[in-house]
Amino acid sequence: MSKEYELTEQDRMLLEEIEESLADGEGREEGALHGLGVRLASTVPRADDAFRERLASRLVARMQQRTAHEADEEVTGRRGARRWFPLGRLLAQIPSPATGLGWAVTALILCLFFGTVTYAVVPAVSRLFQLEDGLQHVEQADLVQELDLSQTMHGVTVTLERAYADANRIVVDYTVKHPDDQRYEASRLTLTDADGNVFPRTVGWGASGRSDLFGIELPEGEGNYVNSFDAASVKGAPAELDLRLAMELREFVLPTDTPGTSVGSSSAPAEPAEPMVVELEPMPQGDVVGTFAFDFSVPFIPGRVVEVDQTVETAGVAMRLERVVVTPSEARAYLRFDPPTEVETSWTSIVTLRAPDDRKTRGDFYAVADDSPVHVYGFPAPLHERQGEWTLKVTELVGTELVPPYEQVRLAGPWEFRFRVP
Amino acid sequence: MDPKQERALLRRARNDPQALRALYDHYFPKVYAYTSYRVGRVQDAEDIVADVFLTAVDKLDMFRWRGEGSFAAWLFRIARNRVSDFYRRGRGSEEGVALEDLPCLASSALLPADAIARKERFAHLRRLIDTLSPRRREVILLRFFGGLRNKEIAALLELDERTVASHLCRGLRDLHRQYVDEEKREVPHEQGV
Repeated sequence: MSKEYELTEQDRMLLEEIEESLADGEGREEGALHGLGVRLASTVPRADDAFRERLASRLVARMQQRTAHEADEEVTGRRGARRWFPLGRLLAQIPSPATGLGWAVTALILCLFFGTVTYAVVPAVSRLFQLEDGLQHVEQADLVQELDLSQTMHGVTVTLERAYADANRIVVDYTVKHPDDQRYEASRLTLTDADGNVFPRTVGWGASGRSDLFGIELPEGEGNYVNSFDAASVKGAPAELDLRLAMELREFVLPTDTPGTSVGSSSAPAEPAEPMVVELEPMPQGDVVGTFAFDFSVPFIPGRVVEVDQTVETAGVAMRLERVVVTPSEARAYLRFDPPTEVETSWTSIVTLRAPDDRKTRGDFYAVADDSPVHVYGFPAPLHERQGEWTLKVTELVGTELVPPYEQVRLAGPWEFRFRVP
Repeated sequence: MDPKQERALLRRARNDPQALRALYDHYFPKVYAYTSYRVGRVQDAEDIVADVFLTAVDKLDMFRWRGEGSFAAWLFRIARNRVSDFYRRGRGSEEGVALEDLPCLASSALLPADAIARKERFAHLRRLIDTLSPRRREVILLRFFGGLRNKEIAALLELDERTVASHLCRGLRDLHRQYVDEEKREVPHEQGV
C-alpha cells in the first residue's frame, strides 16, 4: 500500500468512532467530526413501502417465471425435441442450443434490418420468398398456394399471404401491417395439423422497412416474414394438409445494452463474478398484441426417398448416410454419426451436395441436431429431376461441448458418399 | 447477515421465494439508500433499484460465492453500473432536484420531525458529498448509506481494505471541512437578513 493511504492513529480512532456511530446511531457533539458521521448514518433515505412490496412481488414472479420456463425446457428435452441449427455452421458456434432457434431467427432478422449489401429494389414479397433456390423454383413452377387470410387486433393486421408444402418442409409467408412506427415479431410461431401434431420450425427470415440485403423496400409500417417448418413427420402422401398457423405477436424491442459485457466506466467492473463467462441472454420482449391463428389447407407434394444406407469411416468416426429425400424445394440428407467424446457435445458438420448437371456444389442451408445420433441436412435447391450419381461430402465435424467452457472440437474428414438417384 | 446464513439463502434463492425475500429484505434498504444519494430523485432511484434487483434475479446463476461480502459486492456492482448508465445516458442531473422529488429519510432523533426539513437536510448532505473526489464519495456512500463494511467496499472497488479505511477517514474529514465552511458562510448571511 502506498504511503498516501497509510492510517494514522487519529484515523484509527476516527474509524472506531464511525463504527460506534453506525452501530448505535446516537449523536454526540453537533459539528464535531464524529457527529457528522452520526448525522450521515441517520439520514438514510427510506423507500415507499408500496414500492418495496411491488418490487418484491415482481422479483418473485420473475423467479417463478424463469423456473417454469426452465422446467418446460427440461421436459421438452426429455421428450427428445430436436435442436435446430439454422444456417448450420454459423450457429453451431453458439453454445446455446436450447435457444438456438430463437437466436437464429432473431440474428437473421437483425441482419436483414441492418444489412448493408446493395441489391436492386424489387417487390418485397417475391424477393423474400425467393431467398433460396428451392423456393424460387416452386414459386416459378406455380406450386405455391395463395391464401390471403387476414386478422386484425388492436390495429395490427397479420395476413397469411401464401403457403407451400412438400415431404421435406412446409413454408408460410405472412405480412404484418401496423399503423405506428413500432415493429412487431411473432414470438411463438407454431404450425400444427388437424390432429394437433406440431411441425418444428427450421428456419425463418423477414424484413421490415428497407432491407439493402434483400434489396426490398416495404411500405412504412409493414413487415414481411417467411418461415419454414419440418414436414418429415407427415405420414404417407395426402393430397393436401389441413393446417393451423398460430403466432403470438409482440412489439419488437431492441436491447439497450449487452448483458454481461456492458456497463459503466472503467472504474465499474463487469457484473458477473466470472469474467470469462459470456452468457447469451434472450432478447427483451415487448408487449403482446395478441395471438393470431389461421386455419388453411395446402396441397402436399410427396418426395422421392432414396435409401442409401452407406457407411464411411474416417478419423475413427463411422458415418452412415441413411437416406436422401428429394422434393421440388429441397434435398435432404439423413446422416447418422456419434463421435465419442468425454462430455456431452452437440455436433454439426460441413456438408456439400453435388447432383448431376447441377452447376453448383450445394452447401447445407440448415442442419438439425437430434437427441438421437441422426443429423439432418437440408439443401434448398430444385434437384428433384436430377437423375444419376450424386455425391455428398462431409468435410469436417464440428462439435460444441454443452458444458462450460463450451470448448469446440473439430474432426477433419472427409466422409464421402456416392449414390444413384433413379 | 451471517455469511453462512447468506450463503444458504443464496443457494435456495434461485427457486425459493422465501429465500429470495429474505435476501431482498436485507439488501433492499441498503441499495435504495445508496442509489437515492447517487441519483437524487425518488422516481429515478426506484427505476434503478427495480432494475438492479431484477438483474440480480436473472443473473443469480452467474454469481460465484467468494467468501463473506462477495454477494454484497456483486449486488452493489450492479447498482453502481446502473447508476453509471443513468448518468451516461444524460438522464441524471447533478443539481436542482426539487424537494418534493427527494426521498424521505428513515427518521432520526437528530433531525427535525418536519418532512420538508428532513428533505432539505438530505439535499444539503448530498450537495456536500458531491464535492468529494469520486473515490471518497463512493466510499462514504457505500459505507454510510449502502451499509457495506470496509471489507465489502474493498472487494467491490478492488482496493485494499486499509485504502478503503483511509478514503473513509479522509472523505469524512473533507466533508466536515465543507460542513464547517458552509456554516461559517451562512452566519453573515443570516445576520444580514
